[in-house]
Amino acid sequence: MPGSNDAVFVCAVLAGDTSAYGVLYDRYARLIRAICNDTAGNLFEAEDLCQEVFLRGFQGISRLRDPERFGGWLLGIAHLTCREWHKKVRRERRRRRSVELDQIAPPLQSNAREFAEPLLFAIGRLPRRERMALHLFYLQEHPVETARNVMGLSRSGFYRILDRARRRLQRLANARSEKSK
Amino acid sequence: MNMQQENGLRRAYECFSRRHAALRNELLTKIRDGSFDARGPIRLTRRWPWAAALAASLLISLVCSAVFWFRTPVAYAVADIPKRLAGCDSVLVDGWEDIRGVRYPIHLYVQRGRYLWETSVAGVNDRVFSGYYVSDSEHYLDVSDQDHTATYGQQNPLAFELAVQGVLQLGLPEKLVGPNGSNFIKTGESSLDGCRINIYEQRSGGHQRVIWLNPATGVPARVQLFEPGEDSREKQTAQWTIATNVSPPPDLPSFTLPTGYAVIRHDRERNEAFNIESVGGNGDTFQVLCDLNLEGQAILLCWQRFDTNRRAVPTTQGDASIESSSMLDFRLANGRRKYFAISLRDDPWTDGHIAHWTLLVPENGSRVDRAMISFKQARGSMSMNLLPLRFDRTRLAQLVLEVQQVTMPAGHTALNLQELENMAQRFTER
Repeated sequence: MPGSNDAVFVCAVLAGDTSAYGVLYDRYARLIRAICNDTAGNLFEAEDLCQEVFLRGFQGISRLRDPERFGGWLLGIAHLTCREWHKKVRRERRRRRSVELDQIAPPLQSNAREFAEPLLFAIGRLPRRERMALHLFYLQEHPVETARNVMGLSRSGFYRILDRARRRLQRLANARSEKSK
Repeated sequence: MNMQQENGLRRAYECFSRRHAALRNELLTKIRDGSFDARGPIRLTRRWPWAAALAASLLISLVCSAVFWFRTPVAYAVADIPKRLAGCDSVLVDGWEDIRGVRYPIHLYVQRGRYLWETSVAGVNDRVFSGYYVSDSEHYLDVSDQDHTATYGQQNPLAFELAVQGVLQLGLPEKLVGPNGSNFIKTGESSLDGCRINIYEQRSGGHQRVIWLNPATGVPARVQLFEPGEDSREKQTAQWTIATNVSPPPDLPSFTLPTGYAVIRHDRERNEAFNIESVGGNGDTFQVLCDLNLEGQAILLCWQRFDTNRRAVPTTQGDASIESSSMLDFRLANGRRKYFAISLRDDPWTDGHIAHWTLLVPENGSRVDRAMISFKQARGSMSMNLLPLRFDRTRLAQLVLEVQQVTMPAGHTALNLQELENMAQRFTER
């Protein structure tokens, strides 16, 4: 039950045990990476953003009022970090000047094939709650418990949204294959 | 959803786990080092930004006034130790380290431009070996009990200078403060040899480090290490006493060869000037030969990368598929801000490898501090911390030329400090 003993590890972190933060990282990093990937659209940026989310989480953990709610709190940080990143990218696009620089420091998207992974792209087009349900189901060890903590969903509510997400994904995949024909 | 798509989804989601272990280590290292960018946590509620800004400016004015009216003598803390040690002319460390229940004496004396003396103790399987290394800018002697050899010869002056600075700026601070210099808590005050001392403690996983810090000098007077003992009581495993700006100790060893050791003569050549740092895996080896901090503006880096599994090592740039600087990802230790990597020159180097000279300039024009280099490999990734040495401007200007000349073929011209700074400036201004 991840949500129920996050508090133990949060308290250990507050007592100075940094390895406890590693346990929390193991629980939530994949999910945060997936959420960041939805915004950034590439895995390298998503990894960077995820690291930043956890660093910010570590810096602010003493302000977390309810240690049981660590997951939801961290997801809040992830959404704000992604929003900041999005704003920054838009700002930078306005004064773009990187053509020459990219030749010197080549872009990191060496395995760009991964970023264009059609399924992940399709997931990125789903409504936020459905996307989240898929992320939780495929990335969390105890998706129902985590969904209860971070989305406030009951077990049946979670599976209902998951089912809806899968059906919508199926429709998107069908539409895509028909288009390619 | 059919099985095929279910499998596809599972495969697609695997990409979020692929580098998990490496990223986890990276994050925990940053947290333990305290080396991440202090941007602070995000406030989850931002209802009153103006009120917050006003309060912050009022607070800053109050603090400034308080500092102005109640100015107190400077009191250094643990975070200042690396900088204060780097500024010392000489440092003497005496003490002991416990290895398998036996206390072995430890000595280190380093004097800028004059001496470097260091004893070493190492446990290998069931045995413990000691040794010592003594050097000045002309000679060195390296005595090892492990293979019972005494290696001596002419020292390379550049190697000596880089080694001394490496000890003062990097080795000694890490030995005294530990790899993780954060999470020290002031636990009390005391006096030692008539000096007021602040006592700081750091606890991590049952291990404890106690620093007796002289707040007037910013240098520790004593450091103690403790770990959990067998009887669940803390056991002291090391103690070092530190003195700064002192004359050489009377027991500083001479360059006389000790009796009973196999003697090896080896005069250090110009190409041995660099203190090489390596990282590698699956045969892929990355080595930093030299890194200098160009007054916070850029890093002058010399590096090589090669595959030890390849039979024929690359001899020309065209053959060096693995040695392309485009394979490298330079960034700050916090992992976020990236460096422009400006390729300066590729020189033929020892064993048929290529010594690459690269100028690293922070993308957003910020000051250079630590940097981390990450490498993507076919099976995972590796990373290495870059801790460039600092020198005063006059010496730095000479060193920039000297270090390049180590790898440079005859007839070529090294880039001087001004040219490198101009190059960095041009990138910063873009």
